[in-house]
Amino acid sequence: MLRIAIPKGSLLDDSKEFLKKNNIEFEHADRKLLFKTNKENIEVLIVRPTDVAVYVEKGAVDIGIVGSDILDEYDSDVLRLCNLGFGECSLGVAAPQGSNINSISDVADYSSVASKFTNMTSKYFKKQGIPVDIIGLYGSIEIAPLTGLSDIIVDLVGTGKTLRENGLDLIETISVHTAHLISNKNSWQLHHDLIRELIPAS
Amino acid sequence: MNSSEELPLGIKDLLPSDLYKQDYIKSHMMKVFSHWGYQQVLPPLLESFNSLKKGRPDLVDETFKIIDHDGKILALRPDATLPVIRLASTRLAQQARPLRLCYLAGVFRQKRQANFRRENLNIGIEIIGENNTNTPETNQLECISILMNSLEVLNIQDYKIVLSHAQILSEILQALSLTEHKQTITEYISTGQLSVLFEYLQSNNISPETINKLKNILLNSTGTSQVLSYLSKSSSIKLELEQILALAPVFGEEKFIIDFLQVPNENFYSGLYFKVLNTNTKKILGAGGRYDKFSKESATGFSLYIDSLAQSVDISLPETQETVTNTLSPKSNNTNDILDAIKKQKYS
Repeated sequence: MLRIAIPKGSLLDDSKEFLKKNNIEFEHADRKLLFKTNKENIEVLIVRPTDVAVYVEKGAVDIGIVGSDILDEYDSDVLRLCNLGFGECSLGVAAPQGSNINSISDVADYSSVASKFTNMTSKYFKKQGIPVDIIGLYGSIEIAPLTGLSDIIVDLVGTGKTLRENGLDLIETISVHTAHLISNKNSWQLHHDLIRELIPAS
Repeated sequence: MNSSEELPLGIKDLLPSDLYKQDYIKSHMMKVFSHWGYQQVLPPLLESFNSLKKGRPDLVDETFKIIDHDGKILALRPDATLPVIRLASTRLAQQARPLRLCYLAGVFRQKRQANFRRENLNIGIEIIGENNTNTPETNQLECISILMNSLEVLNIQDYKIVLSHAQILSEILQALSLTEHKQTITEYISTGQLSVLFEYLQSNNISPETINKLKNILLNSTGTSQVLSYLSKSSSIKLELEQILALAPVFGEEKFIIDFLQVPNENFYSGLYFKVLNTNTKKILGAGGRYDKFSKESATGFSLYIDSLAQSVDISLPETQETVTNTLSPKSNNTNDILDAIKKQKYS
């Protein structure tokens, strides 16, 4: 039995498409989370993106599809098999328009930075040699500077539209991320043939 | 509960049912070890931090440290192999080789996850040194045989031994003229970042042909004996692994998986490396390998985790009425009745 975890949200459709290309199909019902597929020995699980990596690392699920942003943020102990190419976005630093913060060198010492990605944010500013106060939030990061909670933010940026609508400008891109196929390290050894088949030839 | 009664995270009390299982596993395995001529040793719980730092720099962060009265640092042993090897090269240095030692020892590690088990009981063997007939290769076969013999005696059948070798990657990279990038490639593979590795090679102007060759090897070299064809015919690693696969008729077919991606810590392991997986739970039962570099003479051993074994062994504390009724129970609380009861209770 092989269990595959795919993420809710923006990567869901592409993930389903990826499985379909590999002849794995299932009936998606809204409230259900665990699905039998057309293949007797394969089950699919739909969970939050951050949880995909946890399920795979702990071995409750054998393989998963997840953004590399999550893998880098949580330093997940899994096998990153391949870059699936879809779901591209970047992690960037954004500052309020008209704040005189136009590049990283304008960021003052001990500025407050709001982010969902506190580990990557901390690593990035350490590398830059700028001491900052990091404020961990779970969502709607863009609102933090507007309300005075933080000076700047670090967040995932797709088109940049949400940033502009909240009066923010991207001042620096930290890293670019895409969806990856990952495997539990022990599952890779025990179910190698089944998992190997799913890696696209390139 | 009063907070002063709470245990620190990651450690636990063992109850009668836990210890019943533990004793069962311990006594069965020790019988096997003793049958193969191994003698039990037990190094102290505390070691000097300096010698640990030299031997296993990779374990330094995970080690519990204690400050001695003179300010020196002591380490709560994070691993049992290290002190056993120390013992072999000091007080047992003059004894005939190969030296066959076994142990049952608690080890302590701090993990980044706070709820991780931090105290673990390991049981294992080390075979150290060689003579005319017991070569390092025979010692490896002996080690794996004892491992499989132990699992057989515990009636654990659903397991696989995943084999690899500390030098496999060097050999492959040399054949592809990628030796120059060995350190980075090893790091990416041991942290499981294959996709990042291929991007790294691309950005370092490695030809697509070479990258594809490496990709082909890394993605396909997990499985049965066939994957050994990725090594050259004259490869000594190939011969070593084939010798081990030849044990199949003795201990059962389909117990071995080879995985080139399983990169052991190169500071410690010098040759063969293996881990044991429970195929139902996918959990690791133990690991082992060869570490000549560290012991300065040939040495091979394995260590199994009692906790993981306990989850795989199908036995539980029998509900013996005997132990419950067979307690001191005087007819009354007058002295004569108590003395009568004690006389009856006395073990002889």
